Amino acid sequence: MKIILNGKNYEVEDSSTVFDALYAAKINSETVLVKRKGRLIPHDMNLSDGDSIETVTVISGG
Amino acid sequence: MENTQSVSCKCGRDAVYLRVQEGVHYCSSCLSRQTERQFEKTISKGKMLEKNDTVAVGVSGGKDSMVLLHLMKKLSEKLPMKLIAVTVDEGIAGYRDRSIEVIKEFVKAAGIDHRIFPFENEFDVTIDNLVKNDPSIKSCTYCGVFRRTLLNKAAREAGATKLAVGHNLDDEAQSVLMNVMRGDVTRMARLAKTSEHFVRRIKPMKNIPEKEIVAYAVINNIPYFDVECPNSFNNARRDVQGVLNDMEQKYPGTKSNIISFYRKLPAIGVESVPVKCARCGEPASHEICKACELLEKIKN
Repeated sequence: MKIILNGKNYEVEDSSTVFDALYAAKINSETVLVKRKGRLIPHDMNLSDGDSIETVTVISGG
Repeated sequence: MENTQSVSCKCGRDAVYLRVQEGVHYCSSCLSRQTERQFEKTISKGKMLEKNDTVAVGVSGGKDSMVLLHLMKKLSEKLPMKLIAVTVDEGIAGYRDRSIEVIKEFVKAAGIDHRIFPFENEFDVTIDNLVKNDPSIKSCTYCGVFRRTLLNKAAREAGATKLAVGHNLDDEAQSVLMNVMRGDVTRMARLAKTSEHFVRRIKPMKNIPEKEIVAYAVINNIPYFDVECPNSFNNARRDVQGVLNDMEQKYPGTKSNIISFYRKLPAIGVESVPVKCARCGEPASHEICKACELLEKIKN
């Protein structure tokens, strides 16, 4: 199925989770939170075909 | 097709966060409550605050210090205390000036006294000038030492009895690992002890993971300046942070276990005896404090 992560298209297996989507995008799951439709969702939530999600960066400052 | 499947918190509401290590889901209300409970528990267990304390809160405008300020303000409604937000301005154009704007707006709405202490006034240098004069300089070393010295001075000048800083669980794990990597037993010992020459530094968020601090900020609409310092590349802490995040992803619980290991160690029998710096009178572990040592290096 197709999902959109931070505006980019990714092809992932059916019933993939947020974890899987982050893995596909080579993003360490420890470094981000994920929002769908503006709301936080847990990393083990299943996604559906066409879902659009975006990351909130955990690391900042310095 | 629209996905209607959701994962629930134990209270029945939709979960927004998974604590991987424990496999526990939290909704926004339960995660906020859990964060506030952990914050208060750390304060109480460490006897960090007393009634009528004057607390200087170190605020950079980043997520940690903004959440800290929010939590301290909330706590001050239960435990009477005077709060003063103190910001060190290192002189990084386009970065610190922008984060200060975020702080100003927040403290104005919250009614918190705010004071800014520029490096330039205290040390006659800015990080921008240091980098401009020597692009290969390890500016994070200078910045860290000057910031620590100035924060302490700022807290003292504000009449603070405590200096609260926004170090989180990830920062603590990084510090332990960095001290191990450097073989720095003295600094390791100092991690757990505070010199009496310093205004007592408290870290009420030291048991809260960085990720949960960001989640708390998002859930509670706490504004923060979400930009990385332009000089923070090629810095050891960044590298350690990356290693720990990789390990945590592969072996959940790694960061907590590092902290737990460190706290279980018996008191290390190596301790520096803090003295006053012969030049500036600020706390030092040697005759001349690190800030004066670095200032001398810049002049030469």
